[in-house]
Amino acid sequence: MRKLLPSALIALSLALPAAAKDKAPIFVETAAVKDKPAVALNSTKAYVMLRADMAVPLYLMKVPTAEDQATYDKFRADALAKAHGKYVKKQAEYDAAVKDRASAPKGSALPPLPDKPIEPTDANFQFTPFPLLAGVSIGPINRFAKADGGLSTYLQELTPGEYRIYGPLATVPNGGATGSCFCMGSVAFTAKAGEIVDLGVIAAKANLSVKRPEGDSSAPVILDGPFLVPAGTSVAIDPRLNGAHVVPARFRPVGKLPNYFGLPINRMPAIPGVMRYDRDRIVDLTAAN
Amino acid sequence: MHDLAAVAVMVALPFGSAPAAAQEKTVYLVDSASPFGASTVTNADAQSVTMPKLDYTSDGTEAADFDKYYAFHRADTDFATAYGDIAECDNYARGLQSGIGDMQVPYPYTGTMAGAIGGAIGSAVAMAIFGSAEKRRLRRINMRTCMNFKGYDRYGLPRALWGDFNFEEGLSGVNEEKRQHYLKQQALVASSGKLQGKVLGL
Repeated sequence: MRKLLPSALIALSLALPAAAKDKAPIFVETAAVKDKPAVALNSTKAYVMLRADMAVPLYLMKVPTAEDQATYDKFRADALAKAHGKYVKKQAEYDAAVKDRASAPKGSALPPLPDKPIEPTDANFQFTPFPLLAGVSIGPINRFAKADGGLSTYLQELTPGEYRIYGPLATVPNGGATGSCFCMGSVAFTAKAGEIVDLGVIAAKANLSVKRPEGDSSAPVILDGPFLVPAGTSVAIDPRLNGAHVVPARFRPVGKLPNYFGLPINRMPAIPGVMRYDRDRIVDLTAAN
Repeated sequence: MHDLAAVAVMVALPFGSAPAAAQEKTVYLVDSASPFGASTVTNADAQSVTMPKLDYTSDGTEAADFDKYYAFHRADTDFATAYGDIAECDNYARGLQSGIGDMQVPYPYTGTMAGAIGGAIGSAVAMAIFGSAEKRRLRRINMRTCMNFKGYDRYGLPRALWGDFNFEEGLSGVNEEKRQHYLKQQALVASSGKLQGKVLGL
């Protein structure tokens, strides 16, 4: 039996305050479909297929539905209320310490005054952002298939919804990540229940093996060619998926996100008919479609 | 057929079914703006910022370090815009991973406590040396990437001049007050500084 991993649990082990760990809502359940002779797909789940000319990682983040957002907002508000309760106690302790000092005889030894606590508010409360509770890590291991010619296929089961491509990055168990993020512009697509949405093919060898110029230790590597290309009919789908409903991804542009994992930043290269850039502003080309 | 040659051919093919780029209407995505919020710095704030010294006489050696020591500039850009751009890029470039923290240090006696401690010390030393350098390097990469996307040119500077209004961020950083002071100076240079030498590109 496949084990579904709520992405919230993965993120929680990294970034959430300990007090909130046991109550985290689950926004995404996901698992790689393993390379076995027979494949049984769940009609209540969505599937994402990705192909590449080498083993690659790709990180997705669910775009929150109105229901997701309401659940997250309540989760955050509860955590803020808890943090505020702690603040009230600390403030009382601080006030008492100040009072003790004021009433202490001159010259008496006093314990150091604790730092004045800062009141947590909706504006300053630091809390795990929604995307980190709704991530999906695809590859580079757990390939669904590897063809003789070297083409790797990944098939990922996930909660139906809209997902943003956050970047070619892989998370590691202790909270780190490797790769880069499309923090300065990317695309999203919809994955429907009972369908396999085909993201296309990553020509990774051409895109991800760019060498830095000699003598420049800090040269950025900008992706200026296509990152994902439609698979088309010349790239056959694994015969184990012959009965499945496979649809090509319909992308729409999405905006910037913070560099959550502290990685080199990048952006999804322009996609004709979907998006292009005017400097760092994203131009939506789907509006005319 | 899983044919990689076919994949290479497809690289030239776009997604979507609307090849008529000529019919494009320019519709900017609303969330093209900074994900860190709008800056509150105004052009009037430039009056309290000191332009750093930017002119120098080349001794012929400083160009070797222009990958590390540089400033940005974009024509027809006001101070507030430049500050907003630099502050956004700074946010992508702070708090970065060193890339070495997850690395296992090879040690021949990892089954023993002494071996484990030896590995831990090795990790700490490596983190202190290479981790810090790698964080500084990643910061440069992200600043250069972001400012390039925003259309700024990059000019080299001698290290001494660069150090007057820039900072590096390894395992330790700068406090917020100093950071903002430096970022405003960088914004002043980016908007109205007279940088010499050739444009370095990305």
